Amino acid sequence: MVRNFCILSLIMMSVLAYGQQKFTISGLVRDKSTAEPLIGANVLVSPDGSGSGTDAYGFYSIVTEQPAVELKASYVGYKPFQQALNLTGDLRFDILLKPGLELAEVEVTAAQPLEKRLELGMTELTAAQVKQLPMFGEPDVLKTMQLLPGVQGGADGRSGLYVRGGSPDQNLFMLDGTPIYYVNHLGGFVSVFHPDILKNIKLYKGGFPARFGGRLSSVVDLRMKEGNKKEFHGSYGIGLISGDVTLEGPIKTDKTSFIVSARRVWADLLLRPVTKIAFKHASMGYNFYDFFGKISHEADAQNRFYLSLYGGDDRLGFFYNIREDKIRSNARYIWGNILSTLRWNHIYNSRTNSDVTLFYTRYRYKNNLFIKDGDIKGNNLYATGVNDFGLKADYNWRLAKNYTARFGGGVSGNWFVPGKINNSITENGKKTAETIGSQNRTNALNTYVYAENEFALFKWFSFNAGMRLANFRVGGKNYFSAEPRFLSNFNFGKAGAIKFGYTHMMQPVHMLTYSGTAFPTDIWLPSTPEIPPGLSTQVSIGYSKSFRNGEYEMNVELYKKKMKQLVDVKGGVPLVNSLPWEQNVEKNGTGKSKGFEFFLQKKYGSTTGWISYTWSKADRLFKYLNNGKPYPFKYDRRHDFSIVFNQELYRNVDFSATWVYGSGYPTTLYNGVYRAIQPNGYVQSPYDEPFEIGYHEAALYPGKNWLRMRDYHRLDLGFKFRKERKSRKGRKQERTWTLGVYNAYNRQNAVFYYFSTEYGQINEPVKLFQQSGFPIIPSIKYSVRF
Amino acid sequence: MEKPGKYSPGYYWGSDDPIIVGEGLEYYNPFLFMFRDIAFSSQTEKVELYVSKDIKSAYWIRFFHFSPESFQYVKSWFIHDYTQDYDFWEVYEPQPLYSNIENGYGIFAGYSMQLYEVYPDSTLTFE
Repeated sequence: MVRNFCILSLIMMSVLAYGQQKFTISGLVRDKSTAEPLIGANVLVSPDGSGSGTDAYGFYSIVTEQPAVELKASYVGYKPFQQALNLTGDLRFDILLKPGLELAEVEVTAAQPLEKRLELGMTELTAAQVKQLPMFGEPDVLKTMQLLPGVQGGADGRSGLYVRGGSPDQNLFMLDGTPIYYVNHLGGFVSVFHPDILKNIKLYKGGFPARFGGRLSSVVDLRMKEGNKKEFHGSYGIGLISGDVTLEGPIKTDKTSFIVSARRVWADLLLRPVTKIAFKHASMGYNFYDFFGKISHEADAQNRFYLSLYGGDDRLGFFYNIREDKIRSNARYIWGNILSTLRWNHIYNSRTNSDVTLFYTRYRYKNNLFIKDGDIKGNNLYATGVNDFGLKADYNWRLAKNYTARFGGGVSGNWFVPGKINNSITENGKKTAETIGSQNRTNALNTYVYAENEFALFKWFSFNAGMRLANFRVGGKNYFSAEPRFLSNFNFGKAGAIKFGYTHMMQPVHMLTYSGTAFPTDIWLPSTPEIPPGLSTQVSIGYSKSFRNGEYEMNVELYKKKMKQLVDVKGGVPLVNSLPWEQNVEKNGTGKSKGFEFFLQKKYGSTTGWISYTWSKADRLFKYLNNGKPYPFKYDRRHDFSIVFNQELYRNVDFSATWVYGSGYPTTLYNGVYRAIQPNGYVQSPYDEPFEIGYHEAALYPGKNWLRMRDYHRLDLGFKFRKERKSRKGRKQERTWTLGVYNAYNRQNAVFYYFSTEYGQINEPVKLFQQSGFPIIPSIKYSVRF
Repeated sequence: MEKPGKYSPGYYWGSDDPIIVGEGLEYYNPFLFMFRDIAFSSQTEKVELYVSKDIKSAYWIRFFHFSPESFQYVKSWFIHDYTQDYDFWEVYEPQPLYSNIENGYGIFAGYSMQLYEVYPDSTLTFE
């Protein structure tokens, strides 16, 4: 397979190189006012119609046969650019686009129509789109993604992203090209990605290009802004939940810029004192913070350097104190990421550019339980984490008018701490007992190479054939994976385009989520010699059509995905236990999912938004679960529908509304009980019977996830009132009041069901109860941009 | 040394002995230590168990020998019982109780048990 692929690529390259064209126009597309490079801007030349979208660094490259051409460029929210050029050779031409778009200028001939774009299962969002939506008064990237077809967020208070029947650990989140492990703050209110720092977000659900790998279900490629290279600007916001501040500006005009952003939730400032008053001896606190920073330096026209940083933590604490009895205890939890990326982007010539990245990313989780009773102190510490340190290089080579090669590779060292336990007791300052249970640190080496070959053979047919070869070495064992990727596009012009994709993926890391803990915990662990990496194969076919010159875009997709070698935590297994983690999981599971997705988006104008609908089915199969029969995936949802509506009501007033509907998630409840023999786990006297018969009931479950909960639906509303004014120093300021209502009609959406008696009375008949999610929550935020 | 008979609850069992790796049930019931005898290489094995604090008096200990079915049943009972519960965040993933009755529910299995009176640092023989 690999050999055939290489031979085919070489033949195609030689054929195309023979027909190589004369002139190449290349350069950067930037925002004129900030000099910020624009990702995904469309550039084309007429009359021959060759076009290119800018890459993650704002770079474009077009090969043309014509010596006299009209160069056109466009980007959403910017005035279109047009210039006549006479070519005598290859030309470097940087384009500056002016922000602001009049409605009449929507007719942008340079925009590459959806039918021509070689993409399937990919949705691109801009930070501006994210910021339009109300949510919890805090616009959020992942919450916005959950409104797209094929993507779900689980029940209220859950912080996962479930893409096409995949679990949350099967999503690869990349911030400026570096993987980030923990993406949601507690309860899923907001993600770690602050929209003010982001420039562009791409979600791949299928049709993965070969440059991405390491996860089974999705890739989320997030790119940070570079910062204003012309002027100093900033913003700050004060909301009910959190406050944030962002600053950006030139360090050296047009050369070097910085952007920093910090956000902190201040729920704890109120929560701790309120709980202290409400409960005599107890209190709790919770907070999180995020910090982003980036420095961008353009050494010359060919070389650019970037340093990106992120740090963020969630902290949760429960405190108990009885002063008179000298008893004090607390439980503290802390978890979060650190990420740093150093990149060198180099333009060799008009056709070739590269990106070399050195990165470090770390996720860690710790909990510390402390108790003090008189002179005795007890301390239980549990810690787990994952570290990645790596180097990678990516190359783009525009070899001919109709052929682009992308290739690269990377190596990273991963080390995992599966779970470190340290329990100690101190009496009168003297350590009396200590238990240190540490599962060995696991080291792994992750290497890969890839090649993508993008051909545009005819005006109506293009394809991207790629291959990724990856190896994961752990515990002396190598897991090698050859992952073919194929994506094709048949463009029938006004009749639309049909697209086909095939991908194979390997995932050598697993996230274990333990239920029954006081809050969600994410433990990342590698594949081991006993636990092989997960594998997935996905086939998808789509139909795309744009209307009114790209103002409306419609996508219809069908997909089928098979996953194998999945793992899941065994039911009822606690987070902290003495067993090696491999014994706490069910292994070699398989998963199947299939679905139909519909997406209609209005991209421009005073009214924007989209309608999305998904029909899907996702199953899992494990040998020792559900008697070895397949069962619905925990977040299997048959119907999922959402409407996103944004309207500019007046010049300074925006209105947005989202309505979501989803059929019920599956759950497991018993449908009968019987009198069972109970082992007597606690013996009062040596004469006690070891088993009791006839007193205790056991529950009967017809199957795992056999019952469906109520349908989910919710309406969120938001208003934005903007006002521009000049500050005392004469600088322009924009002040915005954002008012939002989450769950506007206060729908009681089910999170889980449980049986109980009314008011907890033992003799009352058992009834079914529902734990509901978030009720109606109003929010308000004041922000200033200067 | 005090005479046995006064039961002292609160002794948590455990073992670092590689021959008797616990089944991880201490979370559900710390007064119980379950292990498999698959690592036993001969008829008689000497193994070590510890309790959570110093034993100053004699106490009672029960040794069970379970058939594979009763072993499965006892283990699944504790997990089944434990996962009936729910907390603020979610219900536990329910775990069915082991049953070996076809077209019905329940357990048909056997076990044997011996009661010992134990003194600190004592060595027990269980046959």
